[in-house]
Amino acid sequence: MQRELKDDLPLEHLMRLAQQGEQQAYARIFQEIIPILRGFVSKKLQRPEDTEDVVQEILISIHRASHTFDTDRPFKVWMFTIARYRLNDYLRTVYSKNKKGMEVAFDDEVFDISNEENVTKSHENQEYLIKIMSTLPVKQRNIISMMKIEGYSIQETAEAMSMSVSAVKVSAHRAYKLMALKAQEIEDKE
Amino acid sequence: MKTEDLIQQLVNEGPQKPMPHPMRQTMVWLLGMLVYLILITMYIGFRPDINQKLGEISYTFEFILLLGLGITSALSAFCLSRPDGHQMPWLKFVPFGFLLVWIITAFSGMSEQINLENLAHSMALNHFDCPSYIAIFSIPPGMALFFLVRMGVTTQCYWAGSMATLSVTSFGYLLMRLIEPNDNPAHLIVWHALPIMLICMLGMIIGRLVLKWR
Repeated sequence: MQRELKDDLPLEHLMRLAQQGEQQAYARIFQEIIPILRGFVSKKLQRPEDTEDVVQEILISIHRASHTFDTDRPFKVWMFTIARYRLNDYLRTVYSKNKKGMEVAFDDEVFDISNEENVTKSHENQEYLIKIMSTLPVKQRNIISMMKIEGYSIQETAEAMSMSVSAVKVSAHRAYKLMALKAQEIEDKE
Repeated sequence: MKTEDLIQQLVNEGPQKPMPHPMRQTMVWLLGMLVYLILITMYIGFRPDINQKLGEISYTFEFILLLGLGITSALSAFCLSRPDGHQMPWLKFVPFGFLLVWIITAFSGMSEQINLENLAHSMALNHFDCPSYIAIFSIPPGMALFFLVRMGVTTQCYWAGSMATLSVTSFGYLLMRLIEPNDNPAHLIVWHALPIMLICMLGMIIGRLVLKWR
């Protein structure tokens, strides 16, 4: 029989009740952890749809690992270990995909296409950017693409490129200089 | 799928039945392991000088250390079968304490006997039967331990694999000390300790393949 649950029950206690068959307690756990997980994942991922995908993955993992939780231990430590594991798994998959196909993924970029003018403008900017970036050495182009188009942090880019953070910064700085020079060249020609 | 729908689906399924405490798992495991050890030893037969050896403090101490190594590494493997390592991250280093003390006590004062010449000589004797015994003895309990660890969820598969292997091979080493009347330190290093190290490395790889949480 389901009973009314108090509002301030800790997650460990809720899990104990859930393991005893209280569906309501199990539902409450998910409701309470979702905002925490969204906050945790969104620090690493920029696109909300990616965040939601990873949060769902984490929820499924928590459910699948529910038999390994010892209710005498803090719930959040257990939960965050799973969350970190799944998030790293996701990032690893994304990085390995990027490594395999290092072409600049402009198609993935979201442009504001609410009116025709914006579409034209976006395409012009895109072409201009492609033109300048195509003159960069491959490594610098990849770094700029990851940091400025795909939205990775310096740390994430460094990990994906198997470089140190400072090496990424130096490479990016050189790339900006080259891009500025190239932009100047193009403007002079036009 | 919407997150709310997913939650509803998970709630309908309900959480899984909790696993027994790692300590309890280790006790059950130890009981099974000791029965196995006794049966095998009785089948093969104790070393002829076992009564005399059991009277030696160093031998008994080595026996206790190996037992400690086997138990703590099994406990570590069971804790590592939880995603958070049962929130005792230090536990996986405890077996190394036993290992270190065992190395010091088992081989201290034998520096004269442990030299390159003796090691090379021991290697030339081709005592492949010793590592074979250790491996054969370790395989059935090893498979059982991997199976039990796999029932959980590990986020540190290399550690879990190596701890499980270290546990069964330390019992394998213990068995060899009970049945083989050879106390030559060079022989023990080359044909017992080194193969165990190799088997543990193999265990790490097996851990990666078998225990990784997908």
